[in-house]
Amino acid sequence: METLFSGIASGSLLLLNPLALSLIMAGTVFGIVIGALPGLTSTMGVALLVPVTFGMSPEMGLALLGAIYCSSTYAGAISAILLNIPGTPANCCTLLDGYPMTQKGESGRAIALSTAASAVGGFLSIFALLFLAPPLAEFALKFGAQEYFLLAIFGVSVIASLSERNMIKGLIAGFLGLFLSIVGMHPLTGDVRFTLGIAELYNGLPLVVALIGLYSIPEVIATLGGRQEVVKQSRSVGSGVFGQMFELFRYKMLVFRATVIGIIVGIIPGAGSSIASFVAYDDAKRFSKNSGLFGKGSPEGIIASETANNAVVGGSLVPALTLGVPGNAVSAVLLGGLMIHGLKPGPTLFLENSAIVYSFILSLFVSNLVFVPVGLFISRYCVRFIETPASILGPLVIGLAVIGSYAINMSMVEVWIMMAIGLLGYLMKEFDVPREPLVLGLVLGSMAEGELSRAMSLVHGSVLSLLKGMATSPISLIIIGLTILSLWQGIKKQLLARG
Amino acid sequence: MNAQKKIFGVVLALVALVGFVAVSLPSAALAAPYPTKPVVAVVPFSPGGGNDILLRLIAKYITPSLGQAMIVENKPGAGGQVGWTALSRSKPDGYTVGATSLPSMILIKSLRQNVPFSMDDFQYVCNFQVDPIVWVVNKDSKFATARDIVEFARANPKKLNVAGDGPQSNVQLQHLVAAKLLKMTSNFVSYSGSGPALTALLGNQVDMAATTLSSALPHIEGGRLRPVVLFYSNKMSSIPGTPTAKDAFGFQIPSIGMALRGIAAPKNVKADQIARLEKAFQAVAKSPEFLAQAKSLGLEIKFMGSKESTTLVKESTALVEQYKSLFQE
Repeated sequence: METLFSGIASGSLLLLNPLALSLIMAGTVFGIVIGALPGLTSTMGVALLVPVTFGMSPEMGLALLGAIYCSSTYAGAISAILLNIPGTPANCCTLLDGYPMTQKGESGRAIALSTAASAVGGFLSIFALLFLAPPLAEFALKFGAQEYFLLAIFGVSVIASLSERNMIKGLIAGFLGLFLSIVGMHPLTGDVRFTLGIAELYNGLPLVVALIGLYSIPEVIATLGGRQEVVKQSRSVGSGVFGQMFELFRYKMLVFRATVIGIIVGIIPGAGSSIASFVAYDDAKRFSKNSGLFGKGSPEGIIASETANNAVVGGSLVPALTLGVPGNAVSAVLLGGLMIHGLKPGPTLFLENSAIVYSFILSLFVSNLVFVPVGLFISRYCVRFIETPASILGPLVIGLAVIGSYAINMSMVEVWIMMAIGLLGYLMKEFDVPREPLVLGLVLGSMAEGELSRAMSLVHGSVLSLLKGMATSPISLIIIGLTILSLWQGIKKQLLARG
Repeated sequence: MNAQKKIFGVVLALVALVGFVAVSLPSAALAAPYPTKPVVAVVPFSPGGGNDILLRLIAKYITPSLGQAMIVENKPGAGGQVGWTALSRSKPDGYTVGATSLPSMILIKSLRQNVPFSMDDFQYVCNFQVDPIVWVVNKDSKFATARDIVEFARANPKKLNVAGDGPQSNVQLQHLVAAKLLKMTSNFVSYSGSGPALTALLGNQVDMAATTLSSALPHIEGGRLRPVVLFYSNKMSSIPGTPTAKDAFGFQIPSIGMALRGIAAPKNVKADQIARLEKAFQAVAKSPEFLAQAKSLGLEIKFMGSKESTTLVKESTALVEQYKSLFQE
């Protein structure tokens, strides 16, 4: 405790520097642009600016990188809400309710809510990082192959609540996603499957490329087909916006639960922010009194998804800083940045470089506050952007989609993959098949497959020992319980609906 | 009239001057010594990995000796195949180089079908870092020494769970070769990188892990993991108490899986450009600030020039060919 407070004291001294604040500001603006543009992810944003930090002191460089991480995770919501295209994979759930709100002319309210939710979720998760990092990191280590597998299965059960409108179509989309997740090398044997000889597919269908194709292409075709009219948006973003942000506080319990979900998913290495927002969305829908509104512009849906994905930020840094084990791709890049600045992530980090580490953590608090005014200011112009005629906006979005998929690896192969997935997405939209179960299947399928075969290998292929292992591990039992509960509620709802 | 003529004359002179400068500038640029613009370094792995950190660290220090900046470009995919293919096809103008990693490159080429690059598509500029493989166990593991592990594995065939980067990785190759020479069998469980493999060991999911020394070092220094044997010909200063394979088992085990990280350019780059690059990288390898930072990160710097590293590739290829059948067993 004593080292904690002296660390905080020396860390805040480093941070009380006009340069640090202006770097956070610059990082936030950059992060918001990166995050809002579909295809440019938080990982890419941080990786791009790592070389820029070479000339800075470690605490300045890290403050800049941290600001990009926080703000880009938030800003993906802007394009999800306004264009129905998630800016980063983490914002896939936000569009479920964000875009319907835009269609009702309430884009201002949706953005205000997502901003407030992101800030609160991010802020609280940094608290967890600051005060609870060591015990949380030990918890993360309890997750083995078997727990990961069960977690993936639990995630798949969320499909049920994503496809209440039409269970059959939802399941078809889910299976399609699971099938697409098989593409690539088997994680244990290395066998190459369904890649059509394209080396870019060996590591599986790239998620970001798939998301761009799945959401941008169908959207553009639909708007150009003239079947969607431009909705006049209320102008309150930027002026009466603070009032709208306070709507968040009507949902205190929801925010709290989504934050906890985000932190927990964040600290489990390899789980990722898209899973956090799906689970939080599902949880919000389950507990909501207005669950019928979900998917039609429910404020709770946006709040759950955005709170959770920003709460992942603090969570993912817990194992990264304390154990040197990154929680996700972005924190892996951040770890690389730390090492280039001469810091060694791992158990000794907090002892040897406590001032720098604490100044980094404290800078994340600041970053989570700074993106609120910056984000709202930028959104004000983005809202006008969607009132441009479809004949201009459509080609612009296609251009962004191509640039985004090209930028991932600086190669055209990703662009062709994006187009192919776009065609699939268009067919799904045309036949009114929900696309979110596909995303979920894609994210979780490879995790479920890899972890199950790993878990089987660890018990030398004996199913009986695997089941015994699951029955004796408390974490496994909890996840199994949650899965059964989730499925049972889904079935009950379907039965009630049929009378 | 006179004044007009004067003005005309001045204008004419100015035009001539501008024209002369415009014509001479590009030729001056051509005459300027290579490199005249930043050099792109392709890293065929995601940001944050071993190759990425090495290249970014070099980029931080190379500008004075190269005269230009070096820009790191990540092109991950298919365990490096995507990036190395891109490097082999890039323009041989001396402005694109890439990170190499032996024996991973050779393993990809010789274990997979339809790999578009061959080892002859590259000119090796230098080797920069060696990263040997270690066996590590948890600090309170029942295995005190590497010999204990071997005894257990011999008594319980295929029961020893070993986490490691895989499948078909340099780590797995090292482990398989060691197991074969030690007449033991084990269950190698592939994880998507040394990081996740070490996490599994930290969480007691497996009995031991086989990883590169650099990725295990933070956990060793933090006191959570214990190295039991080092697959390298010499002891390392970062883990002074850990025996080499020869000391531990009484005979030499080839350090076949040791990651050799270096730089290559596509073939047909001019020899003087390769020499220029080699000189710039060598200067980094000698820079005290670079060495100090590399040391604190646990990177073992071992610079080898273009000629030596080309020989290294040949030797490494021969070793891989000799042992690659072990992957099928």
